[in-house]
Amino acid sequence: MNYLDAILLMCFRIFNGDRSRSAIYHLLTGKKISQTIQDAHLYGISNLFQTMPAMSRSDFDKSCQNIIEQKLILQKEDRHYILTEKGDKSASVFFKNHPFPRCLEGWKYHDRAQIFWKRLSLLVQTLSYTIHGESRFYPVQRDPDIQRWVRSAFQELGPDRKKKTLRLYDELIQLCSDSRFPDNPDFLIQRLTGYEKIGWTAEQLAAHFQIDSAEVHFRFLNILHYVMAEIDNAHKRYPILHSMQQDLLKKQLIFTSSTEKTFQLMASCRSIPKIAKERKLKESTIEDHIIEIALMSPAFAVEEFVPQTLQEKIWKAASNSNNKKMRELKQAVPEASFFQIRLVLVTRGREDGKWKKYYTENSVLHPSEKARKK
Amino acid sequence: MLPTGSGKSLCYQMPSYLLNIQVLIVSPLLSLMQDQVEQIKYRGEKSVIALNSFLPYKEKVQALHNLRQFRFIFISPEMLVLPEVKKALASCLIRLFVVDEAHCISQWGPDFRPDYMLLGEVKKQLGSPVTLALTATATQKIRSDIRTALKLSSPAEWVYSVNRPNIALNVKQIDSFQQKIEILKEYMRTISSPGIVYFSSKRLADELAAEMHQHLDRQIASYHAGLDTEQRILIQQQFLNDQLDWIFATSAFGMGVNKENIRTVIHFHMPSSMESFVQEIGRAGRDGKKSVSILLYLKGDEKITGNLLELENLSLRQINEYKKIRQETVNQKVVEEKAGISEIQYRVLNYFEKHENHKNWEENVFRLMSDRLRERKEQLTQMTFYATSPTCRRRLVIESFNEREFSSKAHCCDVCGLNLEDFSTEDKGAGSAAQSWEKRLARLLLV
Repeated sequence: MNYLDAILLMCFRIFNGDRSRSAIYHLLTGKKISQTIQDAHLYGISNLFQTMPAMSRSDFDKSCQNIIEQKLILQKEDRHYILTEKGDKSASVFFKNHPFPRCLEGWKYHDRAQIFWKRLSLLVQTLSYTIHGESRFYPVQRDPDIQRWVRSAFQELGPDRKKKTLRLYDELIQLCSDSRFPDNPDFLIQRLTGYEKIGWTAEQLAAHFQIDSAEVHFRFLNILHYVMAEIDNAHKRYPILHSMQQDLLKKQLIFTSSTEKTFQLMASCRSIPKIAKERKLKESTIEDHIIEIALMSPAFAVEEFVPQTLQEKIWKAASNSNNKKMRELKQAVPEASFFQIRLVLVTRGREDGKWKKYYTENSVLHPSEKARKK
Repeated sequence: MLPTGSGKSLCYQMPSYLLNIQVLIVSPLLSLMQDQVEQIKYRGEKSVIALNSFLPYKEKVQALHNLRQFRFIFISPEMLVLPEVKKALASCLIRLFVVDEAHCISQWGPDFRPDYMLLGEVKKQLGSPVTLALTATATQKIRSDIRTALKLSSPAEWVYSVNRPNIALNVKQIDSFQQKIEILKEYMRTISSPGIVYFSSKRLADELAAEMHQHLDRQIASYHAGLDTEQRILIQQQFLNDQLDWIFATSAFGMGVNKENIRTVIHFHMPSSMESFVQEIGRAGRDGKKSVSILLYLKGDEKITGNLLELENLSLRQINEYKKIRQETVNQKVVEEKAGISEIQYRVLNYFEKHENHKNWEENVFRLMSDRLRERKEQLTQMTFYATSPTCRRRLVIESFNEREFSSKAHCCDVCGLNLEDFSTEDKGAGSAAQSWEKRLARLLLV
């Protein structure tokens, strides 16, 4: 079993046959459709959202085939699978011997972390060449937006460059030496390129540590998401690193264009039927938009659509049953609409995080992950 | 026609500065174009743009709007026929029109690029500026194809010899596939690096690179179109920076790589034509120093390539099928799937659909395709002859380009008595240079 197989087992375990395997593919590649986004939150695995954006469907199917043949998952109905006992055990054993990516926050950080990494790698390269007295080099990032950002950041540093380079060095040392740093810093630092020293590829790191490249990928991403959270929380300790993604925080909420129109109308009107009429769309479509908006904006006020007491009732019912099938919930709370149930589930689900729960269970068994680090 | 590394890009960059003119360069491969642009930027020139499918939409709109301001405009042939691009080009004053890797114009090339055949028309629309077609390898036939396609009536031609006296030519006869791998392993340790090993299979390049990297004390990485951009840039730069001893690559690697000190080029599989072969070995010894080309030949290797050619060929049934399905849908993916044809095959048929108005279209296309197959098989036969004949290999190379005279140094080829030991090395290679992350970070950011 390889790392990707283990991640897939986790997903099958959590969906527990409620969703087809395509839902897992869409989750990992980060397909931005409301079904996938809702599932991610409903089942508490938005952490994994878009963590394998480049995975091809055929690689995914191959991995699925592999765990089916090993009888780790079992087909429940057409293309819906549940974990077998053997599968459950294998996943637990696997994550005893391999680090569990507990810092992943795919939904929250994926885009930001990608841009942050590109900027960081190009800025480090630029500064490294500069302090070694070389102004010409082949940039490791070719994306024009990234190059533009680094160029202006570099110019802003002005004559202070040398001092700032030293400070960036200090910040990176501080970051990686922190006792809470989740993994071996090699997975981050060895990928950096600079003067006369080109960074390692994921494949090369995999060969060096004799692990598979999916593991390198997840461990790198895990570190990156940890870093994002860390510089969010302790931005005073990391002024330079923080400044490298500050503008991304302010970025406006980006909705699909139809949702955007609904969002604008919502500023003056909270009535779904009125908005639907105004937009000449079905009410259910507007409801989908509102769910999307609720997911994207932390400031969204659920109580405007579901009274507080009803929210509690829905949530209690949802917590009682392991299964989050809509129909069952609707029977338990007949006074709530499907829309209200969905809205409560996706917004509450945000703090749920079955993914983390699984990790905590496991880390109780094996708290010494640090000790196993290379 | 200039051999690799002898300054083809100088031929269009210098005139631009001397005469202060705008230059349009058509380049067939995206990665090659990126490399060329990076190299121009590296020397400090900022007025350069690459118009290709990599360019984000926003950037493209902006670039097209300001197109007049660029000194060097690189463009892919597919892009060149788009209406919005044509319109933007009309606002420019292109005084030099360059077609790079011009051998791709020939429809007999392995990677058929129909848009390349429309360049003559494009040239006219640009007001027929001075036109420069560049290539490292083109037989007489291909050179004549280039003249026709670009509508050049009596062009001045500079044809330099394909012979590179500092590259020794060696063919190693092999008895089994297993032995091929064993010998390659041995060469990795004993033959001078840095070097490139060419494979026709991406998977094999990957697997062998991983295995040999692990078991030999050599730095080996694979490079092919399947890697993402960031990894490709890193591998390429590691190689330039002498951090790698060997690159295991498909033919995707090498065109735009300006590395002077490549000592050895090994072919694990036989290329499909003399042109590809000469292109690929030409990446060795750009510094003029002693280098070597080694072709590992296992009897029957040509059959694998031959079978691939047969597979690429279109049957009359497929052509009929294509015609039928095209009447129902214009969706390329659907047509490819339903007619059971590849992307390249689709390109070929699509081109013929637009440009062949024969009464019996299907049969006519089938005949053209069969001609193409025959031509490519002849090229393969020529390549096989190179590997198997007891004739001086250098002579075979230059004769396939219709040259007669050639000079050679002491190290000519195995037929003339070359000793591979002259190319062996005691060198320990680049070494892994693994260091702790703390040291690494200090090395990057502290002086």
